[in-house]
Amino acid sequence: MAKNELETARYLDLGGERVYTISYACETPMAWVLLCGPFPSDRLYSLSAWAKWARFLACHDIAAVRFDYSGTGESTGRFSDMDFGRWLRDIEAMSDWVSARSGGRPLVLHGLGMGALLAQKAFSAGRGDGLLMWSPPLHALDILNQGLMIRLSMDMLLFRLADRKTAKDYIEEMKSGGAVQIDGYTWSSTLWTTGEQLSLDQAFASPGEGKEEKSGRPWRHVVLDDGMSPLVKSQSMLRAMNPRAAVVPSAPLNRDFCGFFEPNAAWIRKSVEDHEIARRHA
Amino acid sequence: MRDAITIKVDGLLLQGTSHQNPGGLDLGILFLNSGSLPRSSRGDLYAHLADSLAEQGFKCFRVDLPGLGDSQGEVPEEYVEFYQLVQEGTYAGCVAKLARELRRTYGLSGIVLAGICGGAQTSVFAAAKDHGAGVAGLALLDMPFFLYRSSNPAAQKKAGRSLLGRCRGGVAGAKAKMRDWVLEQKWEPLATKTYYRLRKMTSRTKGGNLPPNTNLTLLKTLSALLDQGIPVLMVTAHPPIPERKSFDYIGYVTDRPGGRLEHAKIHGTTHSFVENSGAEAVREAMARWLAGLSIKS
Repeated sequence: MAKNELETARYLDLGGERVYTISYACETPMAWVLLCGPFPSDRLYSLSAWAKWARFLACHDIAAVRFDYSGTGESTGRFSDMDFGRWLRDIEAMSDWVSARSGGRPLVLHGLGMGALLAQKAFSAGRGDGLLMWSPPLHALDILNQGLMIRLSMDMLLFRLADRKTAKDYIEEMKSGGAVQIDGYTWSSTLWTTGEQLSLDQAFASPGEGKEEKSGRPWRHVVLDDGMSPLVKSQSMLRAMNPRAAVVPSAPLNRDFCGFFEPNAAWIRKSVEDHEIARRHA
Repeated sequence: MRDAITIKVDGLLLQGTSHQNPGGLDLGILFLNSGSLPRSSRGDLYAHLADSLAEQGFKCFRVDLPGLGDSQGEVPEEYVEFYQLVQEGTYAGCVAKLARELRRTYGLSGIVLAGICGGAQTSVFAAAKDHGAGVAGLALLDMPFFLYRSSNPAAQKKAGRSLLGRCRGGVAGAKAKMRDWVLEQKWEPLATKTYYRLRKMTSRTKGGNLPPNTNLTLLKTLSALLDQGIPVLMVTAHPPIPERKSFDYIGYVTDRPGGRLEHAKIHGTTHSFVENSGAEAVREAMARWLAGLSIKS
């Protein structure tokens, strides 16, 4: 992958927190892409592949900006104060920030996992000129239930059978205003309740491509399977990251994604060209 | 106060975060990636630790090493190959350069290297690599003293570069085949039981002998640093359901005159320290040790 000197990291003051961003710029960008990352626990596995995608875009004349949601990663704030509503506001604020700096070039919202679901909401609310979704969950609860599985598997290591709670116990705990520790994060009751209310809109639910009814803005929904690890979490990766002893099972850490990146970048280019044509006609 | 920092090492842009508060001490702490994880670590443990230690006046830095997190560079294709590079000290040179650069830029009198797992191993190798980097101490969190190896003999063969490495790969492959064959047999439970009984007996007769898969280079490097008087904090995680008893490496390195090694045991947590208030216990252990270190320095 080509290296460039145009990777700029900075903090932005958004909604009372300092949000960490990195811009992957290029000489004359034909478009800007806002990268909306996955749920914080999944960020651990996918971040370097996500950054490679940003560099790939920048090398193909598409500027990209990635950021960490408030209360996660490099951004400030307490995770226990965060919920899906707050992270959606982060996306909206970031898309406004990028739009203001894009020099009138089109902005594509692009999300992975949870980021795809939230980007769809921001897109439907009028942000962005295009939407690219990689493996959006149909419901935010799907992500939270996966997190609960991590809690239950850790409990098997930490507690004897009689002392272990069930998924139902944890859900009840959160629904009654309590907090639960999962993978180092404190999940609040509002994280759970906002998750219960968040689902992908029906129009975007099937993999494929389309145009939004009212505005004609393009969108694309791509499903990534286990073979796309480490961009997505896979069982083999989890086993390699947490080997039981000195023997480490095989799992890819650094895969060549160019074959996957290429058609996605081509879709962005095509969407941008269509957008330009439509704008000229208008 | 967190700030974004970018440092160029060997032509690669490495992204990081600094945590500083006004009027702090001139002692820095550099956190190194835990395995292949980004610089915030699991549950953003490093980010919170650095915030907390910065409040006590330390200048804290977390930088993604090449190919990890936000930094440019490439890592091997497979996890096991990456672990093997880490346990051989491949990243030590880069960390020594980083430490020098941070000391120069922020006017630090010294820098403490800290890390979990592979981050701890790299800390040890980096401290030994370049004495001019001004390493003032090491905070080693649950550092493995054994050598990781591939479960796949083919990958093992690929990873081994030297003749010795290839021979070891061949032996490991044969052992893996033998183990798989035994696991398929009806009499496997009896064989396993007998094997562990024999192993217990031989380990008693061998006394303090090191296990065969010990990372001898790491052990020797750490011992040499202790002999030089480098202060070391070792923090170990002890899950509530005890695992099989393993060799006491820390006892082995502590058993030397003049070493400044402090060992903090954290019970009820796991290797990543994010379970059962492990993060809070690590923060307390590091804060206590660093306070002593800054007074002495």
